[in-house]
Amino acid sequence: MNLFIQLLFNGLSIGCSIAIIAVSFGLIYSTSRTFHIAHSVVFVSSAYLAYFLFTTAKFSALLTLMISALWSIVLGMGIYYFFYKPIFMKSGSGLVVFITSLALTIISENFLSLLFKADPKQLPQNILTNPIKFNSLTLSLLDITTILYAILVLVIIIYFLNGTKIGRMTKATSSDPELAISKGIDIEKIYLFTYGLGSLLVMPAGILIGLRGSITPGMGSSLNMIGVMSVIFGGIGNPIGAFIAAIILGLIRNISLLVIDSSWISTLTFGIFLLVILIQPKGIMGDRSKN
Amino acid sequence: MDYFFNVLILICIYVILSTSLDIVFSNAGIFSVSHAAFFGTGALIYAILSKAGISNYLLIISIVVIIASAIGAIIAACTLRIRGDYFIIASYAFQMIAFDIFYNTVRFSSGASVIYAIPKPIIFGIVFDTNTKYFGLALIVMLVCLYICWRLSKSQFGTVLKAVKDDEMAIQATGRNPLIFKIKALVISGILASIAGMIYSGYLTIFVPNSFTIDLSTAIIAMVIFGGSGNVLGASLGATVLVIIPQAISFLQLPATVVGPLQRLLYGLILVLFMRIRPEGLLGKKKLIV
Repeated sequence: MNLFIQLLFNGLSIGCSIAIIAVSFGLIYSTSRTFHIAHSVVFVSSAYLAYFLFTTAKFSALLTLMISALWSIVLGMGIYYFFYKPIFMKSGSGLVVFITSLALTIISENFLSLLFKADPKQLPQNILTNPIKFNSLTLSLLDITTILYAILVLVIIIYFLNGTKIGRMTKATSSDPELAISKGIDIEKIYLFTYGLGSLLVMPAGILIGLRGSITPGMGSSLNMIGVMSVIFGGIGNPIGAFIAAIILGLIRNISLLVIDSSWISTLTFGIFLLVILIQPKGIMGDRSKN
Repeated sequence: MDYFFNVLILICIYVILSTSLDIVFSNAGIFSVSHAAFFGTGALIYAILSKAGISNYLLIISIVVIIASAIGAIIAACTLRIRGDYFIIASYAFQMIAFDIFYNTVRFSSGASVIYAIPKPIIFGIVFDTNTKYFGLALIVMLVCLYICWRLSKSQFGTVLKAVKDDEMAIQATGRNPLIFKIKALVISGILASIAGMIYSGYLTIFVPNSFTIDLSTAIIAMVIFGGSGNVLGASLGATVLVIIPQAISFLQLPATVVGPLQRLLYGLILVLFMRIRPEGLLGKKKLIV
């Protein structure tokens, strides 16, 4: 029973890390319709930057976070502006964008392994990672921070989409780009803005995941894919759906450890995805943004 | 000289992989990132069967073909109804599942993370134990594969397949089921890739699950895109060049931890560059449209 509660809690915490990725990816995907696999590049490289600034250059935690945040915004917008946008201008093929995005992930992964060596990098242990014991249950402030931050991201995105002018313009662009243009919305600026916002919001996920274990060049791609799956499950343009789907996947990944060996976890996760997509080719909640 | 034949054998194997991927890629318009899964399936089956003492090469080939076509048909039937972006994610999912299966099968069958000492193939009493002899085998299989791919693109089947890619509805209107054509394309491509896998593990005499990941799938995609999708010549050229360049890198006497990432970095850069400048590849004629 104690093991079950422990796994439940771990699952919730990992589910929330996935949720951060999923909700921010969902914002970008539902608006610009680009399959931005390179979303993982943003948070993995930010984690490495934070590692470098904090442990090697001895910057303060606040300054580290601020520079990493700036980097993530610049990188996210840069990927859109210098890679996706010219392709859309030229051929408009979603596949070409996807291959570019996949290639950017490969470049980043291998560039980081050349720069920092492939061995895992450990962020210094701090107050966040100190274990807290409740009877036989072990948690840390890191888990709680992850959960709270994931909820914050969800709230920010919902508020952004419904409560701000630019957010409503984003929703309009997402559901009908042509109509948005005819109403005088500069959709290029909207796309650029969602890339910036999505990248900024996902940046802490890299550090949180890094603090949980260690930072490796390849830590992002698989988690990012699970985030993408959550968006498909939860419905495109439906951040709450994606959030719930991410947490369910996180829980399944952990609780299943009671019955199966950990080497089968990705089979389970991706098997569920295939099963769901087979029964419901449009995802469980469908596409909300195209009503 | 031995090294020279080593490179030639690798070229043969990768030409099979890239031309077979091009069947689904350019003819059927299916973008799959799970080609390494088929390659690994063939390699693993050869490793297990020949370790178990089965030396009849034709028997092993038949088993590989049967299993690969079954897997291809299952994947195709499951996922081809899904369109566009979602299919790519589905093929990614298959690639991840395949890796788990490779990893666990190796662990259960050998107790280690790698299968060592896989016997070299023996066909009609000839032991393919030197690089020169092995190149002969690889070359023959490659030529057969190229012939199949070439025939396929010229045949009525190939024409219908291209029409499926361009306008699925029109094919339905002619009374043909587009799904059947796509399934056949994926099965043929899977069979060829898994035969390449057999040659690969028979040559290296070792099976490492880590070699058959999404990284390899991407490398094969890079080969097809570099050479140009839509013709056998383009995919072969891509494979040849992208096998030779990394070999040249390994001549630079860099440590092994640098060579691997450097090669993959190169594949990534080639993909990005070609997508920006010439998405149809060096020898390709058509634009990539899905």
